[in-house]
Amino acid sequence: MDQRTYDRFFSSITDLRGDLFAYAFSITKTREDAEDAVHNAMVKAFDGLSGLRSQNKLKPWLFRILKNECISILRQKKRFAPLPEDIPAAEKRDESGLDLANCVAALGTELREAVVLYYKLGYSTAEIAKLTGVPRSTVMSRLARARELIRKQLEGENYDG
Amino acid sequence: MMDNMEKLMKEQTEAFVPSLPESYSKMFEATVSNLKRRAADSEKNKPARGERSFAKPLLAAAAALVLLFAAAIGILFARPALAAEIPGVSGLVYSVAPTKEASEADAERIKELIEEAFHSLIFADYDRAERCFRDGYMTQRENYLAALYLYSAFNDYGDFTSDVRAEVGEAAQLELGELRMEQKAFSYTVRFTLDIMSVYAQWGGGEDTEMIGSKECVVSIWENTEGMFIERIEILAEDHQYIIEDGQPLIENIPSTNEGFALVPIDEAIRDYILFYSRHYGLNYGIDMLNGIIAELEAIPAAPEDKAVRLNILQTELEKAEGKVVQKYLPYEQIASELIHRFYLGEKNGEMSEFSDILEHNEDTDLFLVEAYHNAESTALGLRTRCDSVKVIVQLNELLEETDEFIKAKFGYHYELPYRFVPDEADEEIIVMSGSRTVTLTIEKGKNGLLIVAVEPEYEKELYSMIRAAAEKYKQQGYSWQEAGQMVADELHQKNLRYLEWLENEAKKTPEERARETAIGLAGELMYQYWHSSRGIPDSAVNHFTERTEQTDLFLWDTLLAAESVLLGVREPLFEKVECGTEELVEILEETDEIIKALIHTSVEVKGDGIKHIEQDIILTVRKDEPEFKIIGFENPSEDCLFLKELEQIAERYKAQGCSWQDAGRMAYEEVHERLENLANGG
Repeated sequence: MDQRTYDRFFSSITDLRGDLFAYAFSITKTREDAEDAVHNAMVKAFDGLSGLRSQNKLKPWLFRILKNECISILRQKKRFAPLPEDIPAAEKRDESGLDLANCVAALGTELREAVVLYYKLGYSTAEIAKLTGVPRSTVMSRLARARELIRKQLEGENYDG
Repeated sequence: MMDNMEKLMKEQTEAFVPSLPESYSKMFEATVSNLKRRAADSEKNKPARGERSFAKPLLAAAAALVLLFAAAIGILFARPALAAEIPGVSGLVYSVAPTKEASEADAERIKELIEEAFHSLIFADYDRAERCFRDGYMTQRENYLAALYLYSAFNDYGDFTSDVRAEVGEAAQLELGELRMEQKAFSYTVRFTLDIMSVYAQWGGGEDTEMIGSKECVVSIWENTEGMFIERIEILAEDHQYIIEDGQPLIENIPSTNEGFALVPIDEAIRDYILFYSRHYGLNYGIDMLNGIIAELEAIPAAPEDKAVRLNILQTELEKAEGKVVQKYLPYEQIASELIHRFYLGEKNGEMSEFSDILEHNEDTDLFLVEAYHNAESTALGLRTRCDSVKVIVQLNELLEETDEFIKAKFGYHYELPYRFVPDEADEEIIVMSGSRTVTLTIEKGKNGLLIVAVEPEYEKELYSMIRAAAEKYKQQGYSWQEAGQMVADELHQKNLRYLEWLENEAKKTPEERARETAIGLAGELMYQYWHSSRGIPDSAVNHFTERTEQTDLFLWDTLLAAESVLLGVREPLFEKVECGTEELVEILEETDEIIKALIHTSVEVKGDGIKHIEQDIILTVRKDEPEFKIIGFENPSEDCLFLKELEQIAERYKAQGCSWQDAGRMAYEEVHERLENLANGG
């Protein structure tokens, strides 16, 4: 492996620092698990760098590794869907903010994943399709479904997420 | 124009994801530092250029041989696939190889292989499936059952819904969740949760993805120099045991040999299958099935000791099932069976059966007789095909009330009506219409025998429900039950006569008239599908009968954008439901043997705030290709499609620059799509 490849790798993951955390958090829903997942993913990606054929595929490859790490951590802890316990105090003071955050937290993993990538990280539907490995129409359907569920939740209807 | 919902979504998501904690930043920096150090170390350990070892030449010859041998072994351990088929060596390599997690690159290949194999099994494409497997995959029990499960879980599911399904090829979605992959030499074990989903369009609008199966799966994969192949699939489920070899069409699709059948232990599978059917269709039906399977088993050439074991199990199950039949209810089951049997017999013969000896004609039985008469008349008038025979099995499922005078109970029944069917230039086929239903009967225990005094079928969306609703309406207007029943019977009779007249008129039409009608008839369906897509359904049926030509290209892109604009949240659906589309010919503009071009007025009924109609004028060009006509030209002079005009203006610009119509259309779509995405993102 040449130095240029390493340099590009470190540059890419540094650029993605915030995105990786947000994505991991969307799956694990706790900061500690998200940190662990990102750490593991970075190490695994570094170790497996020689197997990556094209630098253009680094980002979706990295996100896939990260997703697998998140799932691995969740399996070990056998988590279901609790509310995040580590909501910052500043947010707890804002009653409507807390309700709204719970709506996203209560979504299923795949819907939450799409919502965070789209609304927080600003990826387009085409980019999300590449990162998550699903068709674009599936991404769009998931976003539409998330909107509908959150709207119903805010209107007080029951749903099963 | 930004939807408020979009703002709300952004706020919610921002509130959900916390800002980067300090601990994360520290972790991140530390990890990057460590990895950079490792990268630097790996650079340092590379041998420096120009360095020479004076000792090497003396050991070079012996070392070269050792290195060559070590390299060969090393290659085999590093690339165990190379060793997979070398006798003796493969065993050694496998035994000493560590178990480790599969690499990302291998994981991708494995995922693709599994998806390919599972898709091919779902759609019974066994040639394609065979390429994914190692040899003789169907002779392995788990693979065989997995294939049966995958096929029936998806294909049988559609039979139990009343919703419209998209094309089967477009409607299967697999998701492999929680993939865990281990590698030991050239062998991989993959564990995952398989979610099988059906994506379907519902009547009245909307699309849904329905989970029809979620199972834990374990797949064993083997790799050689030619690639990866599946050795074994194990689907960890109970319900796939319901699937057995009993002559269902599924079996014909699978190229199993006699050995394949014999290798499948049918003890548990048969037992669970029988129980499943008994619960749903009645014990008597279950007993019938057991007897049938015993007869079939006795006929097949399996090993005698094998057959003896299985026959013994089946006989035991048969005795248990027969023991559960409650003898004292037999007379009631017999009269119920007589009632249902005569009902279908009337339909078969085209002549109303006699019921007066087993059924009292009163307000609670009148509508049952109205339906029976209508079915018999339909057959007599030639509006229904006659079946060959009637088979009915009835069982008392639940006793609701019993006194010395009467019994009220729910009866379950299963019917089978075989029809003879002769497709053009083909051999005769027997198609069996069958089903299972329930009916509540009140039976009087008179001195002269049993008499049914009330009949209440329990099924929705059937003719009886319509009859009941119509009769209720008349009773509420003050008519007696006798008058209401007669009025409903008269309406049904008139309906039959109108249908007969329509059939006679249809028979008189020339082929040219029929072709013209078919072509014009596409217009209503086309605009129905267009507005249906505009509710946010991207896979539109518009594509099924529209060929992509220069004259339809932009309309097809418009249909897609109509759906995507809703999915992006830029536009709310204009209405809740799209009911139906009709058309009226205004003027034929051109007609040859091959094509017809016409100005057509369409009307699509939609439901939102009340019912309204979307009226449009369109010019369609249709190619009269039997058996499926295709739309090859579309114009919208009333300019009321959602994005068509905008697309036309943009496409014209690209064509003026020399682009082909295909490129111009696609670029126009992408331009509009990008504009919609920007709107969605607050731009």
